[in-house]
Amino acid sequence: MTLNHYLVLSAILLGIGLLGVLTRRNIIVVLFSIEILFNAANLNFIAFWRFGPNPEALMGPMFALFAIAVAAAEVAVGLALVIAVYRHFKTVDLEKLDTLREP
Amino acid sequence: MSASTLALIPCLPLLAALCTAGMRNGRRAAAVAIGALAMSALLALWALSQAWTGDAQVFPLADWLSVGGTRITFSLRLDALSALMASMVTFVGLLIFIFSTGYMAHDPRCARFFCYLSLFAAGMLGLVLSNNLLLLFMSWEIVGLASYLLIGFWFHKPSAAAAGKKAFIVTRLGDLGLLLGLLVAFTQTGTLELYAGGAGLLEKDPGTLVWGVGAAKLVSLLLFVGAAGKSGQVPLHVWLPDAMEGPTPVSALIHAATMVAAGVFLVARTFPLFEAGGTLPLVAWTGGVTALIAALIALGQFDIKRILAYSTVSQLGLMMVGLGAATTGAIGMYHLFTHAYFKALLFLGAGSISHGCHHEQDIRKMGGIARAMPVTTAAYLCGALALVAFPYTSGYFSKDAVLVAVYGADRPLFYLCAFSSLLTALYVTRQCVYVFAGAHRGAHAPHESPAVMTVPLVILAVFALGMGGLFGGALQAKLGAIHAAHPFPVIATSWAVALGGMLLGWVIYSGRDLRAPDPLALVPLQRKLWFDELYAATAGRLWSGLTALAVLLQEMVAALAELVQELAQATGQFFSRSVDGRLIDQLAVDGLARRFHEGGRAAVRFQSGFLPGYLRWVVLGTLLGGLFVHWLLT
Amino acid sequence: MITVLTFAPALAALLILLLPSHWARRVAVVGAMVSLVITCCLLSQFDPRGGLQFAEKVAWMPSLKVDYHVGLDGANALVLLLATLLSLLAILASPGSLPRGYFALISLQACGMFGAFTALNFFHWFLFWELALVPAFFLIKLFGQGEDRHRAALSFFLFTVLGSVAMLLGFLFLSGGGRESFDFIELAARARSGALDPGGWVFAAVLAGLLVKVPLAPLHLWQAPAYAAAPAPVAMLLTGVMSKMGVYGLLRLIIPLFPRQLAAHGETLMVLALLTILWGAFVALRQTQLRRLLAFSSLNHVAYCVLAVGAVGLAIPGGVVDVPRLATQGVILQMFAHGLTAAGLFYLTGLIEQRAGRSGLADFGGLSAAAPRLAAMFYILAFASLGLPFLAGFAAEFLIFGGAFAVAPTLTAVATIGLLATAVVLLTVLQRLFTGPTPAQGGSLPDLTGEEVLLLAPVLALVLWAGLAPGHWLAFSAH
Repeated sequence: MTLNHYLVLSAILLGIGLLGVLTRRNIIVVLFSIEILFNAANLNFIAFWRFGPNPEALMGPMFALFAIAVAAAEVAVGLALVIAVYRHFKTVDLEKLDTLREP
Repeated sequence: MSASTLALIPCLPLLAALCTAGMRNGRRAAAVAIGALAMSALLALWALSQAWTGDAQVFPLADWLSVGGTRITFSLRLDALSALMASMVTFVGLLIFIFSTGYMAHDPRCARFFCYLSLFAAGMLGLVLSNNLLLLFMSWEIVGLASYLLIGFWFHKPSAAAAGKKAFIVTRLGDLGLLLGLLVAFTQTGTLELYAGGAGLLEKDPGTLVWGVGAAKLVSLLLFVGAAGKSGQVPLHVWLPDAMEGPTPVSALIHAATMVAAGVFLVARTFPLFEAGGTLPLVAWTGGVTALIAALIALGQFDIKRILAYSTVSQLGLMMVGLGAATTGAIGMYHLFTHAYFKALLFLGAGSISHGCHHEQDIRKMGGIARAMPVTTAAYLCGALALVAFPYTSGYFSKDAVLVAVYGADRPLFYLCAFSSLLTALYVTRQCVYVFAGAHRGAHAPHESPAVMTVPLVILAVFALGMGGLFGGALQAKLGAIHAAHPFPVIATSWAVALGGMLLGWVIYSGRDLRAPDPLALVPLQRKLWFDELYAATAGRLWSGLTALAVLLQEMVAALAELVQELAQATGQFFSRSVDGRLIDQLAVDGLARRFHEGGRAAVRFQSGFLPGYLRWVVLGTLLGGLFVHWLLT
Repeated sequence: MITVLTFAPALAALLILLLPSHWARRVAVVGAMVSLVITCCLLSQFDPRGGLQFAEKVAWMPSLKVDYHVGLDGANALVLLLATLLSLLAILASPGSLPRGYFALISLQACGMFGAFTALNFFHWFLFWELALVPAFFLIKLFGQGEDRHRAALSFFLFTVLGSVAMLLGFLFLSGGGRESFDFIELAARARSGALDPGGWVFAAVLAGLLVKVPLAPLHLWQAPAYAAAPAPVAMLLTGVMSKMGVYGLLRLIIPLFPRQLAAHGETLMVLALLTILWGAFVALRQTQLRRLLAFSSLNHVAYCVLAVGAVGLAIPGGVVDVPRLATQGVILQMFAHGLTAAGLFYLTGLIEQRAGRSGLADFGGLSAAAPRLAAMFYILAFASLGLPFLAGFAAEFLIFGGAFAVAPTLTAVATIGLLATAVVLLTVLQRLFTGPTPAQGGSLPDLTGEEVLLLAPVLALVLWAGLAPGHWLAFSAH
């Protein structure tokens, strides 16, 4: 298992996440996709740390842990927002949430 | 005699005119007018007595205006000429005024009539006494105004109104000549005073040239145009017979004594200018031609007053001959004086006759007047004899003087005058036969006029018969005539034309049926030699041509202005529609706004409100940015 | 005092708008009367040898060298009297039933005219000049008669405004775009010393502006329609005073400021004047409407003034007669005489029209019998107008012709035809209107009332006075 295998996996995860964010209309699915994006980034941290020049410093896991914590908080806030949006608009479809649009 | 006393002579009738202007009572107005004129007459006689014995005098009155170095001073001149004229005008005028009280007694505007008469007398006296050419001209115009008012006195008659207008305009045509003459004299010499102690117009040589003609010649020519207009010389005589539309006393006043004499008087007054300018032959010949033409036309007329009017024109021609042929103004003036009396007599007699015939003026409808109106007839015949120049009447002496002068000066003109004298005798006889002889041919029986009308006739008849013989010599001497020998041919001709003409008239008309067509009243003579028609065809045409031209010009300019207006409107429309509307409004202002608007609309499309859409742009941008950085780094 | 005189009618106009409308006529009369009384007082103290008198000079816009400068001298003394008198008579001649706007406008117009006659600085002279114009436009348009009045008012306004624009431009050039003074007296002094030498175009522009107002053919097209359409009192002012503003401008501007140009173009001016004289007289012959006929005869009369102004330009010093004196005196007297007679005639015409309800020459006849007083007045004024001696016009015409004849005999001789034609015109009017049988229907016309006679009395008195003793009136401008 070399670094390249991890990077390719991370790139695939990034692509899946990005595709999800850009194409899906359901907010919740978009949130999931964002989580996948985070995880792609976390994988990169861990991989570069493991194959990096100084694996003793634990820099990578620390970043990954932070990101996971932030992501958890984000999901909490995001889901709360989603619920608020749903309550207000009675939908979670992004195409229908276009109040910012120019009339 | 002081200046103010002399000035009273014209001012008294003027005052009378002012007083009577507002009056309604005819008798009171007549009294005022007659009183004023009588006083003028007395003053004039006094002036005459002074002038007869003393020297000529100039009385300055007042400055009329003074501009820069030019002062126009009104002054009066008292000499034999002016004093004689003033006395004649006031005396004959007085008789005419008295006659008018009878003649106009039943006219509701009698007061106004006396107002006009007084105005006329005032103008005439001012003219006569003036020592200033401008004052003379001004009085001259006043006389013209008064004659206009008097001729058109019966304004409800369109013919009278037209005749008044014609008289004013034709004489004003002559007046323009007078005015121009006055202007030439004024601009050449800087003065308009006739006599001013050596500096007057008549005392110095105006010498210098304008238009390449001697100033004296030019001035005298122009003055003569004025004189011809006023004195009815051919071709400006046309107004005079028409002026018969006025009441008879007006005809007498205007034709006999005064207004028409003004022209002759003007020539006599400015005689030195005519002499210096060498214009006298022209004066003489104009007079001669006038005498002949008018005498001819008189033969063809049937209106008693028109015959007299043409006879006046003819006699005025003779006066001009007398002026033009002689070396002084005396002979023409002499004829003027005698003529004034006998022609006033004839006109007033004609007025009396037509008054007696119920305002009939056609001699074909008269006849037998001699029996019905003996006083008038006798007086009228005295006047007729004087007009014919029957030996030893006043007309004989004065006409003889004219003939003597012209015999020595210009032989052909002498024959012309002799022939017109023959015609005069002929038409006078014709008229008298028509009027007095035979039975009455009119509808109403004639009656004699009241004494207020016949007494002036008798007085005038005395003068008509006697004046020439009694005063003739002294009068001529005072006026400066040089006593000339009477050549036998002249005396013979005088007798022959007077007696021969009367005889010829008697032969033709006596015993004839006067209802039949008149053998001498040929069509050209009846139609007055077509002078009126000639004027209508030439001057009238020219005049209306000028009018039409002016109107055409006016319309052309108006059309031009219209065109400019249209053009301006079209330009305005062009600018408002094309430039303003299209270019600026639609293209520049609105167009730009629309472009921005459309640009904005286009930009709005990106802001769809679709969040993943935004994100797509973000990703695309990031990728492109990444590629750009990559390109930069490599 | 002159300022008070000028602005009294303007104050009256203001008051008219503030006070109830039945006071309008009275207030306007008082305003005009104040001006007339002041004018009479000033003229009684006027010293003919004193030059410029009663002058008031206040710095107004120092940066532009504009002063408020008014005063009386020989050139404007008589014409100011004419303007104040005729303004009062015109207001008196207006029936009180007219709305107050009318009286406010006519008072304002009077103010403009007085100002234009007394101003000695181009700046406010021009303001007054235009101030006189605008109310006249509205008076014709709002209170005129006939369907044609809108068009007439517009044409009047356009012609005069175009003339004013030309004059304004000319003056701006003359004063070097505001660098020099606008003061007439100073400009005249500089022109005399030769320091002022404007170009021909400046002369032409100023002249054109003045000649429109005079008017001189072919700039006269506005005149006849405007005179015919204006209410009679306004027509009195238009012909009596407004046309004199142009002539006065010739005296005040052209003669003193452009001596060299006037000398060069005097002949042209005289030819144009001659053309106008004949044009006016002959066109008048063909008019069928009384007002239009009088308008054209007016055209003819005022053109004599222009003839004289041309003669002033052509005068050569040292002649037998003093041409410039003679001609300018003639112009001044002619303005006075023609103003009086023309205003009187327009007043009478207005009365005739108002009583008969008709205005054509052919509609009348035999009025002498129906209205003898009216006829007498009309006759006197008509004869004064055709230049009968001992009435006002004659002395003026004699002076003008005397001056003009000395410099241009042929031209002047031709111009006398105008005198003849005027006689024909006016006598035809008299013949048509007053003589002949009285028509059976509509022939009777009420005669003048005492009030109307009283209104005409000063005009007639002055016409006679100026005719009998012109020297008295000419004394104002003798030096």
